[in-house]
Amino acid sequence: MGVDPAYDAQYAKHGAPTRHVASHGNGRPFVVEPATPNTNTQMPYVTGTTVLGMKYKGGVMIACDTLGASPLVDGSARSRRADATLKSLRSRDLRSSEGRADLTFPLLVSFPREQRAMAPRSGTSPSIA
Amino acid sequence: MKVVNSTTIIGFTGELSDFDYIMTLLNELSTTDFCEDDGKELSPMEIHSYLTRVMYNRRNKFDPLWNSLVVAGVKNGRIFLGMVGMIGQHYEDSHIAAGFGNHVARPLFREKHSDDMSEEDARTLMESCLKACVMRDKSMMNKFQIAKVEEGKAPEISEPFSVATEWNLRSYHNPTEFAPGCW
Repeated sequence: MGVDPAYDAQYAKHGAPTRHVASHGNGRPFVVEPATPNTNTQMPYVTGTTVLGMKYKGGVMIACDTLGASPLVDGSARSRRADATLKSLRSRDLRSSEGRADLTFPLLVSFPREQRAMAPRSGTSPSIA
Repeated sequence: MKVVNSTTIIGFTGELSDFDYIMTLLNELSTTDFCEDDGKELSPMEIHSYLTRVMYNRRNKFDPLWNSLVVAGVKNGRIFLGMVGMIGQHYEDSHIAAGFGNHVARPLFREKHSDDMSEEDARTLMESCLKACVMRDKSMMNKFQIAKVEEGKAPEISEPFSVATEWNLRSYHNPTEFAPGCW
């Protein structure tokens, strides 16, 4: 038996969990704690999405989605982890280092040149589906 | 995801611009390799080792590079897969997940992965792990790329693709039924 007699009574009657009516009533709405000091900087953590990697016979592969992120404000200020602009810098092919700075300006890359003037300069970031 | 040299690829999560800075450092190393003109370049292990020092050094300045990095490569018959975290923590393993996938994908890897599985099996497993991630992680986008390195071949990064998701599972119908106080 648990700590909630009302729940236990329901369970005994039906032999399975039903809608949970707690002893204090029908549950309470979720309440945000009153304003407290912001502590999110005390547990620094990388908030981007996942990268997976695995070995297999004769090689190794990694996978990730094509979304870039900004720290601490997960869910906003996203931009693409660029894909097509990524080029190989082979040790004998220095020319391919062009396009590398594109990573710094993913929004600019995402917009065709003629549309850049129309892109918002600040505030909400444009949707780049 | 980026190709570092002819044997190494690197995947990242976290801050895009910090990763850009990391790639600046790696490209400096690659440029040095090129100028030496002795046909040698850094191995995946060396790049991983270098990145652990970079990340830990910046952490000691209380200005960490806000990334988790996955370094993968094959050189001289040795397959390497390593991870470096934001504050310099690092390890290498047969399978790796950086970010939320640590909780979602690694149990699947532990259950089904083996080092000598074929590439098709590996890709199938990888896609099932991506599916688990995209269905559990609200910030994940269903548009993925897979990069691979094999001995003697140039690294390849695939075109973006999606995985099929399934949202009609019974548990999704009334998820807050037994959880009072949720909405």
